Amino acid sequence: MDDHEEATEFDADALRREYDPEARARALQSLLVEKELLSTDTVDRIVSTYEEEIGPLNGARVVARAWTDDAFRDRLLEDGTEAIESMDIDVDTETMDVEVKANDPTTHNLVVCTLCSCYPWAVLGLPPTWYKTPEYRSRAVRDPRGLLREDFDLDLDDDVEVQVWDSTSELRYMVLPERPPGTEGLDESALVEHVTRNAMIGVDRLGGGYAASDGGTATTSPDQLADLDPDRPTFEAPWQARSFALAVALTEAGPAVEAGDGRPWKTFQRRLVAEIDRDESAPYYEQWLAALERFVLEEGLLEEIAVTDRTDEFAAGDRTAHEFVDGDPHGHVEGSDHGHDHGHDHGHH
Amino acid sequence: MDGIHDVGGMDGFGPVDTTEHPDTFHEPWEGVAYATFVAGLGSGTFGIDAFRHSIERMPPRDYLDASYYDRWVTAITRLFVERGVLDPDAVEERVRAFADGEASAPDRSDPELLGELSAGVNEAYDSDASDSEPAFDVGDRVVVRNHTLSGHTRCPSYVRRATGTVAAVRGDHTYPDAAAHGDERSEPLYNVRFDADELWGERATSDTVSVDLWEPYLRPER
Repeated sequence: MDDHEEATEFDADALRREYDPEARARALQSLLVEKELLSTDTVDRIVSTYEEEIGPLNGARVVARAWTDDAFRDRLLEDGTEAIESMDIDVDTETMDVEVKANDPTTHNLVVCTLCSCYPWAVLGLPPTWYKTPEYRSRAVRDPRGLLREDFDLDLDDDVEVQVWDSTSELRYMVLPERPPGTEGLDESALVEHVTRNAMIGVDRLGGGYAASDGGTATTSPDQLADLDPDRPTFEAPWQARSFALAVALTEAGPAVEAGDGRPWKTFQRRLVAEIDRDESAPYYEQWLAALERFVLEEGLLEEIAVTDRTDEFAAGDRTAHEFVDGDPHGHVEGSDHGHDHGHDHGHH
Repeated sequence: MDGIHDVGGMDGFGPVDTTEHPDTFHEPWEGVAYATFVAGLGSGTFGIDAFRHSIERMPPRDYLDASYYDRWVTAITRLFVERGVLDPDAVEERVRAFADGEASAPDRSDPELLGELSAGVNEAYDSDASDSEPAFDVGDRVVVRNHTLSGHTRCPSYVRRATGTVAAVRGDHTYPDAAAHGDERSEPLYNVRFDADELWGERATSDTVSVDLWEPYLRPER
């Protein structure tokens, strides 16, 4: 105990019990302004730095580059601070260093500060509220699997090793997640959106190695998808393109998303990984379509009976792809007979 | 100190509330609290280690009862008074005034101040280099001393007495146990990796836990 602590009778804890934090914060602010240790504009600038300028986008950019540039990835894992600064992201090395830990198919990294809230804020912004709670800090070191399963909906497979990093110094940790399957065609700037802040802390996982919510196990690595022939067209039939577009429209950019009814991309992606694992030999877009079907049913977007009935109609030729073509005179008219009375004979397409 | 803040491995806290908040600061006063922290560091009133220790000095019930930035406000208020920058009666009076709705923050502009504070913050992190060579190498097996002083430490209690392996030698870093109490010295820092079952037996679901530990916390495995 040093001299300062014994000198005063002032009890900051008793003051806290008597007055709410807002009154005490404002009192501090006003007294410090009078002492010229703060000013109104200084307060505003500090607040706006942490609200607007720093944030996880910087970390996402670093990850996206590491996914597309092997030399950068090596540098990042060797000296995180140096590699991050090379992307014009300011790491104030007087106060912080950043070390990056890579996930792989059998390794999952998780970052915590059990003693307080230390966090790589230079690349991720200020930590989320939950990161700073005793609930997270106590459990992350001893029972990360239970924590991830119960609180973050991430059920790691038994063969994935969980390595926890307790941040006790000014050296801070960030996770380099695996590149998710289904992103092979994307360039660095597009990949940024596939990086989640939670994956860079370790409470989310972007590769395989965890149970999909329907009970399947996702252990496929992205390498399997890299075997696709680059000289073949992306889509070999319109149904493949439609399946792709539907998944994107429901998760990334479509009326459902705009209406606030979209789902996160990973809720589709997990099912895709599960389907690939379930039947590795199936063609990619059959796996995709199967995942899409599970997705719309399990997310409650469509009723199974409606899907089955509509599938039967298309299979029987009562409805056809013409209805997807704007202005096509053969297109289905909602509400009319499902028989053969459209005025001309469709036959079976 | 063996404070309530040292929660690594503790049972019973229950589920994590993972609600996302759209704003960094849930209330404006939290942003104000952050600014007073910068003022404290930047003016040289206190360093980061004394700040953490001031939070740790909250009695257990108060610590657990307080929100995150409430702990900051409490800790910062304590330090500004202890360090003689703010008068305790002035603080109590002003708090009361704000609580009663009878005060407002003065409006003052000082465009140079943020730069001065930032420079001060960096200075606050400086320390003297240690005068000895690191005692341990990568691969060494080390045991964490039963390090139970009453002041600030960054050695979590859950690793005390445990044996681990040095995974990285990080060089000299400000030694928090000293710096929090006015002695700005540094010591060699190591990343030490522990098997989780060494720390908690079969109940652990982690495989390894890695902690950055200063040399005074460690001794060689005998």
